Amino acid sequence: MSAEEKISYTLQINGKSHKVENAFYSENLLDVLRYRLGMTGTKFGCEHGQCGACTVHIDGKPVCSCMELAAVVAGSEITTIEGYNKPDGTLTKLQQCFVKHAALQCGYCTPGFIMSAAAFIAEHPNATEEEIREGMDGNLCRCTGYGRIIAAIKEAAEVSK
Amino acid sequence: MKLDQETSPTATGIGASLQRPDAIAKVRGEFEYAPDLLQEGMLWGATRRSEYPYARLIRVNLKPAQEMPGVHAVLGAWDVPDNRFGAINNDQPVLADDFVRYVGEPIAIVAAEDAETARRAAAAIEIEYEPQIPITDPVDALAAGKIYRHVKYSHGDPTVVGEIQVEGTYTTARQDHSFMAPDAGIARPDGHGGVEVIGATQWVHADRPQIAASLGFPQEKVLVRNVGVGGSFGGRVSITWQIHGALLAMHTGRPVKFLYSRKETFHARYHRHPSRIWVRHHATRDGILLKVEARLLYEGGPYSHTSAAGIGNGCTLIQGPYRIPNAEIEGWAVGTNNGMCGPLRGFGVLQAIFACESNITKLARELKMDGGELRAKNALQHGDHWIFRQVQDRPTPVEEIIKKCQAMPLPPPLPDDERKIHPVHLPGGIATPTRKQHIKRGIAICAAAKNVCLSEGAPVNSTALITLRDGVATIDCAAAEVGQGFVTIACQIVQTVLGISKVHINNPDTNMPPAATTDGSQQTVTSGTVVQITAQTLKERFLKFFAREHSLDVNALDMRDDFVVDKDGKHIMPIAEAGMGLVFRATERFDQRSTRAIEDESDKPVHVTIGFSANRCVVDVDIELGLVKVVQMDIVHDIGRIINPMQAQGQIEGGAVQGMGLGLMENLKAENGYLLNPDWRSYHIPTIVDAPTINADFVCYPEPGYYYGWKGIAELPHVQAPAAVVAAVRDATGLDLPFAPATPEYVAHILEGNDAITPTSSSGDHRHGPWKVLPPPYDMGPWVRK
Amino acid sequence: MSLRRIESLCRIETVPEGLRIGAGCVIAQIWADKLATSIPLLGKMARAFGTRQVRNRATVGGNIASGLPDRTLAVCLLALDASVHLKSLKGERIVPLEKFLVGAKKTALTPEEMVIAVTIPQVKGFQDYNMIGPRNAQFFVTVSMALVVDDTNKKVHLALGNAGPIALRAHLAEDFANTAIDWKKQQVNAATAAEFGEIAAKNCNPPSDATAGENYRRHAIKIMARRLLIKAFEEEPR
Repeated sequence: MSAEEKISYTLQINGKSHKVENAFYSENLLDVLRYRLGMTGTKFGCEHGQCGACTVHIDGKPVCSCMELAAVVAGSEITTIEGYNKPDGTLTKLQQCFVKHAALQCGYCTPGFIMSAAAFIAEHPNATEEEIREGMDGNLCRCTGYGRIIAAIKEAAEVSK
Repeated sequence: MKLDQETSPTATGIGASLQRPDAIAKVRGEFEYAPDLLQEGMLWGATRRSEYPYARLIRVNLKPAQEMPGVHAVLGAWDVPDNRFGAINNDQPVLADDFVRYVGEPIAIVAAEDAETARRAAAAIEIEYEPQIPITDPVDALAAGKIYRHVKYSHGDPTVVGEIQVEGTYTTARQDHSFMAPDAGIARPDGHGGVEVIGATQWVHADRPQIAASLGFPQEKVLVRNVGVGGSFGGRVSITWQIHGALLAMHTGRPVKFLYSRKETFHARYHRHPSRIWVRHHATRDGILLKVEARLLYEGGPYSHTSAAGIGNGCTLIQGPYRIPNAEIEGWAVGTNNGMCGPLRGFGVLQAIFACESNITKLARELKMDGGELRAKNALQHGDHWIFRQVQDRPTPVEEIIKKCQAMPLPPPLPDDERKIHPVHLPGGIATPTRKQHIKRGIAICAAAKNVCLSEGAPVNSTALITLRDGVATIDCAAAEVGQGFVTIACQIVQTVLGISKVHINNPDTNMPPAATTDGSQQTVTSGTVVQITAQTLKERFLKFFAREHSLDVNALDMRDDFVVDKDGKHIMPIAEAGMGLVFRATERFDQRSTRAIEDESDKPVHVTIGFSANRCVVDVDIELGLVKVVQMDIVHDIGRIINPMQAQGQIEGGAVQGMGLGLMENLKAENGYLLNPDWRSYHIPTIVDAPTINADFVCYPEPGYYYGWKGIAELPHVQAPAAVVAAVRDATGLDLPFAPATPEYVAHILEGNDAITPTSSSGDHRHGPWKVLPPPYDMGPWVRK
Repeated sequence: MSLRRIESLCRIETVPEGLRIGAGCVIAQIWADKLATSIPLLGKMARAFGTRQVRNRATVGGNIASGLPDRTLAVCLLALDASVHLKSLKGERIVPLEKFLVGAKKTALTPEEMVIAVTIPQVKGFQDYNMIGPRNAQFFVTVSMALVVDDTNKKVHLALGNAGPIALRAHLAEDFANTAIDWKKQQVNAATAAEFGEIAAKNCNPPSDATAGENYRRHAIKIMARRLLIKAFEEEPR
């Protein structure tokens, strides 16, 4: 399939079907989410999978959407921050911890961190600081110096025994 | 000092860790940033950029782009009514016309139906270049006379010579802001013959005149508005896409969106001035500083931008936070073709502090004194004179800060049993070849000073308008929020002054009167101050009204806890009711005291005020491979008054980690005028694994001139971190390491017994200062159009 | 065409030749797999690989076929003497990984073929993977290496990453070590380890690029190889 060719496909996003028509095969999932489907909660930071601001879940696993061709993930379950959010506008425990610990300043990296951390704490209850550092290595932040992010995730990962 | 470790949604007023008003929107991904802007009917912009660092433009053929289906406009230099703009001087082309002078310089712009078509059209433009020989070494620029500013001054008796003299040449690399949100925005016709430019800038009121002038418009026809800014760090003080967008919007009659890729963001924007600084300290045998001599060479880009201000900052604060009675200082800001340079957190001072602190460390070693002891011994004091002819006539807690920093607890050593060490604690991280026996720990303390507010005669002022209605206040102030939390503290200030809990603040735009730029750690002390003064005026007007309505003595009234209260604090009436449905307004303007250029003979100060800090850094170094793990940074900061403890700590932590980046890993390399690593794959910023534990503490001595005594802090943690990190690595390795970043290669290279290299020079040879000005090696051609 | 979609390519199973990993397997899957724990190097490889996001998507087939010299997976598989299974309409063939990696970004894959699996022979002994970069996480390796000790056959395997245009085995260093190691006492002296490192560093062709120069890479290879060999034969098993 060449980069010139235009195709149509259906994406399963946050439990709903979205038809994408006449898109270049080379369009990545991030661009399709943001500019074709208007879902700008997932952020664009770099186009080379380095910063994690574009993290979404594909079949439940955190992935950089800027590195995925949208056409190729047709058929998978995609979850974005819009799907992670509680529909009633209240915050999840993880989101509350970010707010409480001032784990954001400009906030541009935050949706990516939330998506990444949501998957992380599901797999690592009661994660230690070291495990958090290792497990969150795919998300960059330039404002906070990470200390507050670690504290937020640590509290969010706590599971009462 | 015990500081809050959590924010609260309900805490109010100055001193509380009030949660950010935008925090909830941000954690839900519902906060709109410039790259998120989408509008019905919008076109996408793209830019064709220079492929040469220096070339004559022979021919620019737009036709191939114009003929592409889906393209609505293609514009070149001759389409720009006034093709010169600039941060200070108008020496920079909006679109290159006769010459291109850096790789990435804009030549032509396109508006098309979609982003991909716009990109392809821009690529299809045919350009004929006649390459010229670029200047790529700042010493060559100096020789060629490509000098934006030359500073030279002395203080006291410059002929004094100390028993002990220690000198060195120190270099810092080109650093990128690497804020998370790439450049973006939308420009659209406003329907009345003017244009609206919506984006993310540090200073809406500086963008507007530049956009207007280039379009040949009066300023009233241009509205500049900010939406969410995804980080700035001094990097959004100049125009990149805004004039391009405005031109295309007016040309097509449609909204035009620009969104730069990360790689394009690297090329299109400016970076920190690489520096080469020779410094010599003279001291007595007991370690009392007598004199400082310095030669500072800052490498700017081919257009002047803010280089003059940068070298001014460096040439003054090369003194550091020390009492030094004599000085001889000379500095140059020069221009090369390696790309644009401009402000980055700690503008012009980070480089000077790196040199100063590196040499003080060297002096301490020479004197066999502890670094902290030497610094404390020479700490600047209240009443002392700065070498740039300014009296330090305000609180100067330098010695206290250094000693307090040294007293903070050190981290424990690594466990003896290496199986107990998680690899994130090791230099090199997961899968590192470093084991406990390869590690040496280093500790060093550095102190620093940074000017608060723009200096040398730059006007610094803000105006605010506050409205009170039904017990709710709204702030209109054009101060740009870039993540630093001005929106939070502005609300807290009004909460305290007006005694109310509900305060909102609007996004900045040029329909508001000007505010100061979000630069120079000045927003709190300038826009925060004007918000406080305005709220004070509003309070007086409100209480005057209430007193008259109820025949009370206005001097016996106050506002607290959302109530009008009497002098004993007893509730009289809720403020929401007391306003009787009327709208109360006040507007004030606040100006910082005026300053003078270094060369100016008047008695004004050069800097509005100066802040102080100390950073003790602990590192573990793999002394064969040069890998470094920063274990901990303990930082004490002079803050005047803490408005929001969580935010204040956040500034220290974020700034310190960002500065650590320059200290260990950030180097935007240029070779023959080409950037070698203009993306995040090969330009490295600190990750969550690299970040150390940071403990921040403060000393609070009210700064005179401000009712609440506050003082700006945002830049200083970044300014001193590279010096602190590299000093700690020096302690671990015993090496001089006069270059930042001290990458593993650089550390290992020196460990092997090689000479210090200065990788900022493409010619590779090591140049010792002070420099002789050499004859120019070749004809440089026309440079700056006056 | 995404390898991940083809179920038969996403299996990890034991076969007579050893452990077979389908080309569609992602790195995160290898890390979580019980069978894969029989080859400890695979767990270390997965843990060191990229970032969490990348581990969830990078496939074995995609990584091998890239032919890039700094890829973690290729270096580890090379040290494990892995073989690559290729399939075309004409049939299947098996190529040792070392022969599969032909040159810079070039593999022995023909246009009609695709990688369907790798097999790794079972091996007993010390295994480890080390890498260094310009910071402590998320980097393209400056250099990397994998050491596998084959206790049964009394041989060491050393594979190097980013030490040349392709991931390569340091055969000269291996030959030296195989005879210099005291296999009976399971010991290695400091001089042997140092020589091992010297030979490995001398006999490769590391690049100079924006991240680091050739000299530093050789220096690092020398030290890393020395350290790995010492670690492999320390008294306490690690």
